Amino acid sequence: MKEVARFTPRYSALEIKIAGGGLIGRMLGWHFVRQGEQVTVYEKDGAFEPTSAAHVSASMLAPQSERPESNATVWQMAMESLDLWPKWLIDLDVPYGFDGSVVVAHPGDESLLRKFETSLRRHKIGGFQCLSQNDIHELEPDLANRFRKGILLEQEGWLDNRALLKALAHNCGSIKYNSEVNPYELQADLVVDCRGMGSDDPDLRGVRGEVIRLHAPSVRLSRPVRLLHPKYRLYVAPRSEDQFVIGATQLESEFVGGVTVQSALELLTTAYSIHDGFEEAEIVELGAGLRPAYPDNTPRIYWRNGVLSVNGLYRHGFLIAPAVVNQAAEEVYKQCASF
Amino acid sequence: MSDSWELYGVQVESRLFLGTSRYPSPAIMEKAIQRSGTNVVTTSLRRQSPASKGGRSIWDRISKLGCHVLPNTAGCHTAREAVTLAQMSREIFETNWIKLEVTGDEYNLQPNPYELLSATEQLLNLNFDVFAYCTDDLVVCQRLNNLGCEVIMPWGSPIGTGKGLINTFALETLRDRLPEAKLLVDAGIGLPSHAAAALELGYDGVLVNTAVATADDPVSMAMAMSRAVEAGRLAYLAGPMAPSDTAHASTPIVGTPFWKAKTRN
Repeated sequence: MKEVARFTPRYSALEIKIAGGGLIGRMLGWHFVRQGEQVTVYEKDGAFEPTSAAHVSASMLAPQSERPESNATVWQMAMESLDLWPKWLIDLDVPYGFDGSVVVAHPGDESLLRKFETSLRRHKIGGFQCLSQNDIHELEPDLANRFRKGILLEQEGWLDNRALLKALAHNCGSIKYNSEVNPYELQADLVVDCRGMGSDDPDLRGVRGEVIRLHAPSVRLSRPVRLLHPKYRLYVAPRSEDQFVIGATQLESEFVGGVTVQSALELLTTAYSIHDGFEEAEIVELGAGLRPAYPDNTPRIYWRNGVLSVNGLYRHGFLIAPAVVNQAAEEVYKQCASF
Repeated sequence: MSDSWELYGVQVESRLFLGTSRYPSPAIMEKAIQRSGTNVVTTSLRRQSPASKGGRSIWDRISKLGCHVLPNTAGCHTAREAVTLAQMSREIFETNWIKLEVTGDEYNLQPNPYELLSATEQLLNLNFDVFAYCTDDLVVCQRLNNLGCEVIMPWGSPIGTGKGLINTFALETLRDRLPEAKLLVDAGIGLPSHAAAALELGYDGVLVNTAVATADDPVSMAMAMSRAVEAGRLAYLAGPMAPSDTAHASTPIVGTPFWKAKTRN
């Protein structure tokens, strides 16, 4: 028998309780508040000690780069989300950039650029340009000394994850910090489980990611830059106030400790190999988090014991969040209508 | 026809070993492994915080595939590191098998023969079954063999390059000089034809990872590798014809002059 939500149809606002105040919990809360519902979000961490994957993330919006290693479902969600993000971010007053991203490789590794281009064509991904050194100079002058060739991915961008999480916290209903709850014990018209790695779903695993935040006033990059390297696939994502996020490692590990020396070396070497200006940069923060993922690295939205579970956004959290939120909300109102 | 073979007393059927890194997802990895028919999968532990069992979730999935798990020491640079990691691997996967990798050069990930030999000796003394990843150097492989390493895995070309067998002379020499050793080409296989070529040389098997995991369709590539390995093995057993410098017609030409002297115009 198909499991359904606990709520019954009503003409007044639905009382919605959301377990988990990471990206999806807050975004769903914000979405439901905009629909006129009464929302409470329960977050296990304190307001100033967040540990969610979203807080650590570099929040690249990179559907084209991700396509070769993701799947058609994630691609569709990413493209749907790209349309939604600009409208939502303006409403929330969050900094973002959609001027594309630049993919580069050092002269000795330029075969990787050709391989990347071939892969884009095989997946029928348009919206990219192969760049000469002059093109790179025009787009990102700071890169032209080191890189002779590159690719501009026109549909890619970035957003300020922490500004977004903060804005959402103010607009997702009532958010209760330091509140670790079991969603299956909550009473409301609708309960949503967005606990990420806090869920007990046996199919879920954690994929460790590590990033470093740098303050680098002498670096001028307006777009995210992805470096292709035989061993590492890392990128530099710009933030406001001369900050940059260097990310991200990807390890099949649920180790929750701090950034390891090896990862820090990989990340910092990547940054320095992209731009000399990172040499004197200040290390603002080293961050590590676990990305919740299902075996196919594709999110799941499903009912379990009357609770709607939304989880497994893997490393695509910001990339596909708007589409996931829309699908989850659609699922809720579809169930409402069926009564 | 059964063509099973033994690795440290364990009987296996397939001559294709598959790695478990770099797949688009664990689900695709599992399907590729199943469709390849492999009996042996390798896995890396070093970056997964083995001391705190950080990779438990993915290790459990790999252990449930029904294959023999061959943990490796990828990323280790000294014998000491490799021995420590091997001991953790034995505890985690409950196997004496260890694929011993000790990197000597960071850019092409060339094995360090000195540390490799030292680690092999230590691990054999600790009752490990060592599968040694090495270059195609005859003397190194002889030393490994003399130490008691039954499975020797020379590279075809540097790991992840996909350049195939770049020194077939050296690989043939190894096969010729170490007839009793189990020899597998590890690293450098980029295409099914490379895998077939290794088996045609008389190698006992191949280990493939990047070529399958980073293919646009890893499951299809795993199947292609499997068939190539079977074809190469069958060809080796069938006894390939000897190459010749002159043409030999394959259809009978009875009734025509059998020899005609070349004439100059």
